[in-house]
Amino acid sequence: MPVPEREAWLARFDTAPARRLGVAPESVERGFAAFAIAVPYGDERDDDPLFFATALHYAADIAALSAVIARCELEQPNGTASVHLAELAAPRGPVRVWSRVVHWGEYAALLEIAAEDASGALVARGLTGYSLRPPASMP
Amino acid sequence: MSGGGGVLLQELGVVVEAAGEGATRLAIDRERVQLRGVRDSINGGLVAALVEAAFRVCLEAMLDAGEGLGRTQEVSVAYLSAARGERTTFEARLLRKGRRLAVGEVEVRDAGSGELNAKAQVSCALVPPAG
Repeated sequence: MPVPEREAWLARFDTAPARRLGVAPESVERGFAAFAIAVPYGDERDDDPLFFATALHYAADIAALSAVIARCELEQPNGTASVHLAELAAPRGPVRVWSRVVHWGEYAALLEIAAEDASGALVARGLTGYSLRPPASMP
Repeated sequence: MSGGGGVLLQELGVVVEAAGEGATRLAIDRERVQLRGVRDSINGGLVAALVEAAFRVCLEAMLDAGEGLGRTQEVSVAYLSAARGERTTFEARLLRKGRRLAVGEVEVRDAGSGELNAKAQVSCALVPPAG
């Protein structure tokens, strides 16, 4: 499974519920993906901190998934196994969430996650484990 | 986030099923969830967000007079099985509430089968009363 074709990747993740959270796909390359969160929202969503929290967690999850998809050769992504996210600061402007593969094993990948706002300040930092299905386990 | 009545929780149809001394259970019907994950389950990022929400709702009920709820500090989730039940619950329990930090754990379960979908730990800052 090579790096996904950009238009197909955009179509997969540029969805109505994602847009409601302000989350939009930005870039994908081998073992790396980035998403944008358009905050502040400029409406009632700014009064509910769960909107940004959900956007952050969702963007982190699909950034990790995209990075895994864009790194798989013969393996198949099996699902997120774990995530540890430290929420460091409130964002001051639009946020970029990215994830990068830091270790690629037979059954699991480890990825780092970061969220940075427009000033370059870290908003969140974390690690996620992603379960893989090795080629031998496939029919 | 205010007491489970936030805009997003309402949009998602999240309900507070139970609230007691240091424990809260939220529930969501999967048919209301548009953010889907592996095998049409609830997306893992949304699971993490609802874990955070469950603990904050739990903690809000435990605040002392003049005390405020600060920012969430850390969320750790171990995903054990895909959240594919018709209804999924998020049961938060306060483990320790100090002066400036509170720590809790959250279990995510299929409400029908009782299967454990995820186990999580959350920490949240507290704003002590002025003076």
